[in-house]
Amino acid sequence: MMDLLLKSGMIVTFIAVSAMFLVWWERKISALIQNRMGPMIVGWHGALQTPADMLKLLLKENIVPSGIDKLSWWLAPFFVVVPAVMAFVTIPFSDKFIVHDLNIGILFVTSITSVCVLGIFMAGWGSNNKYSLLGGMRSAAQIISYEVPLLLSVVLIVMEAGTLSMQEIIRAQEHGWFILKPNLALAFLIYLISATAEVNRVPFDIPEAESELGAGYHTEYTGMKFAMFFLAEYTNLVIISAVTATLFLGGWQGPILPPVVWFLLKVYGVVFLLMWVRWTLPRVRMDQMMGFAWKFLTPVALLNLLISGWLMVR
Amino acid sequence: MVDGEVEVSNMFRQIKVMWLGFLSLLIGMRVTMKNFFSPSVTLDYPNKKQPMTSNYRGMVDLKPEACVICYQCIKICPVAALYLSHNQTVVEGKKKLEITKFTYNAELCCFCGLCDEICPTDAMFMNKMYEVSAYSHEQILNIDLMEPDKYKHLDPNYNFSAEVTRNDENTVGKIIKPSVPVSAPATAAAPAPAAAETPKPIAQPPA
Repeated sequence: MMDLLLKSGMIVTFIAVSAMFLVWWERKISALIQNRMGPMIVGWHGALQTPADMLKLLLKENIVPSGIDKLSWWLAPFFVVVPAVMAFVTIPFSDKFIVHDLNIGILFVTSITSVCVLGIFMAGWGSNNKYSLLGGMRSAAQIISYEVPLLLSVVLIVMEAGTLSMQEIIRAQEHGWFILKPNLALAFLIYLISATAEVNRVPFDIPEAESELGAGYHTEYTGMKFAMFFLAEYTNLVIISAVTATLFLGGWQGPILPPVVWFLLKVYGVVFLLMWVRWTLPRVRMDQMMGFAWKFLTPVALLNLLISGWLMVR
Repeated sequence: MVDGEVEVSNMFRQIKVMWLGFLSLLIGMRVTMKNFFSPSVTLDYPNKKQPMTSNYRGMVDLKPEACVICYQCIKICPVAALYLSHNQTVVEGKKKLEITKFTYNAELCCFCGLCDEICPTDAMFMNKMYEVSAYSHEQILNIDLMEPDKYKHLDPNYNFSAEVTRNDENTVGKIIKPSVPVSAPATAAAPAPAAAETPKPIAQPPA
């Protein structure tokens, strides 16, 4: 029990610190890509900018718009944050450090992260604002659509490793990462694209498209509630990177350095890749995005699954 | 059958479009990576400052020892922002002029730079200050141009001697005498090297 509490505390600390770090990192990377300086004033090269922003958000007035659906409006931030934190239960940081190695680990992660669509839709519905409602509906459509190719590529990994447990999947990659196999490399690409859409990041950030919807579902939120949406966004980014590292990049396995360091290196490598893509691509249109999911990614993932399965049982 | 063919060709078109999109993503990512490692074009502003261009017109500044009290600047100033009064004394039979008061009203000034242009001895010039906001009218109402530290209250980093040196090097809008006298055209020997030695009409602006 004590052990579990300690591990949970460490996880929550890790989430808070990494979200703060990632916000700063994102701002720095975008600045460097656009030949700017980025935050420079608070701390070394603006490293303490996010804690300062957090402090500001804590002190902000909590504005409640009129005509809201009270229950869903107040509950939405929790429905977004809590699943994101819960998903860390089965993330293996090293061979020993994992809160609980469920035997259905990957299923747990994928299902618990899709709960956050409920929170986003509740936020959109409860806000009594047409932009928020549109953002929430778009988000629901997007996340449900991209769940299909995402799960199809995960199924391929499960077929290859023969298990759903995260630790067992990592142990199955002892003699070569899964990304090195051609069919699984394709699954990696499909997973990464779908996961980008799952966490509403550019080029799939149409639920919060500034130019069309204000800020989408979190337009009406202020102060700490807004900060919770923000925290959930970056926590989800860490989760998909951690799952990518676990499923395709060999998890905590690696020479010389301790396993935790290897795991974090891989996770932040994938995060960097996603940020790099974010500051390269413009936003896609709603119909382009849905068409891409249903007409291209899902058939390709299915075909990949079919051919790989046939090769496995042959 | 025709429909089937159309669908197949549509499918291949779709795959081709996706492949081209993927390639263009890679090209775009190469571009962003190149920019990621290239130096920043913006400055860390309060810590580092952009040097102003040579024709930038900041606040009116004065080199008092160069002033010959010709009143040209007073006459040309379109908004009467300058005030000058002088005192005449006779020392050993020679008339000597002395400035008693030379003030500048930055509140009236329209920063046209005419005083800088008209000044025959280049005593009046416009410095390169650009952080010139003040807390009250009194701070910029009657600035004593005879005082070397006249703008210290606006900008603690104001350095009078540096501004003077910069102005002496700054030659924009002024007719500069050639440093090497041009050889008379009467001399028959007018070879190409002599032409090459003709000094540049405008000196290099300060780095």
